[in-house]
Amino acid sequence: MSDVVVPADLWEVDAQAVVVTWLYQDGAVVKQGQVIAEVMIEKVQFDVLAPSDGVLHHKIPANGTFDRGEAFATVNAE
Amino acid sequence: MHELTAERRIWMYRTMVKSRAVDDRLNSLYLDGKSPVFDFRAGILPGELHPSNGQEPCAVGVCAHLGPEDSITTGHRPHHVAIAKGVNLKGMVAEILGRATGLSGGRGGHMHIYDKAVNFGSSGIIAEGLGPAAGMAFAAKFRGTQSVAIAYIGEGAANAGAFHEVLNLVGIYKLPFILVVEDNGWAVSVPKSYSTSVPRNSDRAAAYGIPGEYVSGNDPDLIFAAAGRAVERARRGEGSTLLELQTTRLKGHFVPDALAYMPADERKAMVDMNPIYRERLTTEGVLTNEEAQSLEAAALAEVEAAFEYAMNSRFPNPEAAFDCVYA
Amino acid sequence: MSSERTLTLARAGREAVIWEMENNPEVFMIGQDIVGTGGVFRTAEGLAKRFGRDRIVESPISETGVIGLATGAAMAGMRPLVEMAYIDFIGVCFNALANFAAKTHYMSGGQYSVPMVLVAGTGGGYSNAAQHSQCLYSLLAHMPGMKIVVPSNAYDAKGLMHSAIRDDNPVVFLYAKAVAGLGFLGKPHPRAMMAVPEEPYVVQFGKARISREGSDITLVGLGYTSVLALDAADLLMQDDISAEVVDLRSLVPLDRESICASVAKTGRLVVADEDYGSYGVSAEVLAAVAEKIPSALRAPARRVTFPDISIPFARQMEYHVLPSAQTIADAARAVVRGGE
Repeated sequence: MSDVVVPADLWEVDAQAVVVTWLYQDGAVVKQGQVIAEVMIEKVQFDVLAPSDGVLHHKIPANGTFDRGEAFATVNAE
Repeated sequence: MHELTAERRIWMYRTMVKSRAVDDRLNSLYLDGKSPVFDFRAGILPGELHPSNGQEPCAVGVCAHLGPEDSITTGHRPHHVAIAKGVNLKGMVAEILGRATGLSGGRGGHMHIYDKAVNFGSSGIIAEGLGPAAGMAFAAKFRGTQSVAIAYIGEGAANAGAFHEVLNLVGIYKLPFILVVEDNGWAVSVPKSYSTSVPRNSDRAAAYGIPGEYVSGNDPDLIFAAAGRAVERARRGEGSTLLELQTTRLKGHFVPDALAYMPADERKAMVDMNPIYRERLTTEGVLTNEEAQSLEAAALAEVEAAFEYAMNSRFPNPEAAFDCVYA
Repeated sequence: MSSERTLTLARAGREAVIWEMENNPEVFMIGQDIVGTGGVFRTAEGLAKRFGRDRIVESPISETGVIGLATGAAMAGMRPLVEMAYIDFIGVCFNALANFAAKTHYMSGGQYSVPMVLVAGTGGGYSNAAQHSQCLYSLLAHMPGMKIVVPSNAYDAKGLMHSAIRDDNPVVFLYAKAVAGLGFLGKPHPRAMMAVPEEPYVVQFGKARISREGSDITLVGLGYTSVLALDAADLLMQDDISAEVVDLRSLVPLDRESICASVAKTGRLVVADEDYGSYGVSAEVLAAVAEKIPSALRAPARRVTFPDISIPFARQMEYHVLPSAQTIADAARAVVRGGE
């Protein structure tokens, strides 16, 4: 199982992030490297990529917030 | 021509403080309510906001020479120029906050600040204020008054067609017109080196038969001197001048701007002239520290009163949208 | 094989641009801020890194010059996209687009074509005031020689962008900001987000889409109002009124056949347009009906548009006059009930 996190180098400030859009639904099959979510930190928007192949599980819904380093989704190998 | 007296320098500093206080307050009001997903529509101050933090010297150095009968047009970053020109502060803040008591009854918002009483107007399309300022200069010359008209633009606007057309016009008509180019180095995310084929727009003035002067350092006193020369020329009927003023856009293009496109060392090297000018005035004995503090408190009180007025003002009647379409 | 993904309109359009750029080395983009920030409406996000600055060309604030340059490159056979940010800026350079780019094929008797795409954002409703909130659909549509498309959802955005870049004519591709899924307008509009195939596909110009079938009244929309019309249709169900929604999506060429087929079926019409009311899209839709199926209307048609005023800043005023699902539904009810 892989955690989906925002890469540390993109997250400079000590602020919360918010999920703007989920491109894949909860339970969708994703491939490594696909853009799966749009996330906003301090008004700047980032694409987050799937870390591995597998089934996506949302831990935070769209418009939900999460902390620096927190996994906001997981991708489980099928 | 106006001399750089202590009184004028104190006025410049006080106006810089006042302008900064307005922008700081607007910045924080703007961000309020726009979380978690950033939304322009949300909060007490919706839409876009282009703060003037850092560019205050460009406004005070020039406006120190102007009276209410002199005209100014400027663009989407108007606050510091409006304040230095003597725009009604309560009306301006009320306008930015979309109140019925705003200068335009809430129709214009922050990019479209007009105060006819002091011949000030700002609007949002790049370089569109150049022609109108030339027209105000035309009227002044036609009527034989000593008034001057000034157009403020950013260095990015110097590549728009209107820049070239209007400079040529004021050159051939020999109008009492001054073009002030605020060179903060960036047009949104585009640095000057990417957009402009010459390092200084002041050098372009020669192409239009008018003098051009570049003032480095974002220094109110140096800007005062250069502006004084330009205003004097204009009032004496000797024609137009192009002033390009090096300045700093401390807060980026608009709120919020993470300045991600700017090299980190450049970001860190940005200098805020407000405290530096204060230091200079106190060191030179123009102001004591206590006088500076008292001046700052008074400026802040004036700003606070303007915000209180605005926040307590009623919102426009929705049907008021239909007024002012025609005279 | 991965699941379906749901994209925002902006992202879907960008996907088409990327594919076209990868498959044709002479497709390039020129405009302000496309390198530094990917464009104010995210049309070029990530593209400078991917394709380099020879193909993602940062420009000064020189719209007349830039549109002219793109036109010339197109005349030489390249396929430029001009990123113009706000459609409001078209005022500065209208000649370059409407008098030169759009007329060159005609004036040269077909010798030159201008396969150029102008990309811009339209619309308001977020307090950006008179000069940054306009649609200007009719201003553009009125001029011969250009095609105009306004997608209302991600699926159409990608397909229309592929068509736009492949078209040999000047195409104006407009992103309605309210539905594009931009970083500064909050959560993306759910109706505009849609499953989008990964492979390229085209959506033909000149074909409207029936986004909802109905029998009592036809609601015609474009861009944002197309989405509002769907919301209005939901409201109307509560009154047992079955509304059919026609998403024009292509303004020039205009699908008059689909409009008339729908109105012939329902007999009632409301046109919703975010642009200024008079002399525009809504009038053109009414004209099509009046000319082709004049006796089909069982009640006078209505239009719900932005009024003929500058767009005010204060939201109390702007929101009061902006078309909404509510005002569209109100107009529909009035038509159905035969009221005045």
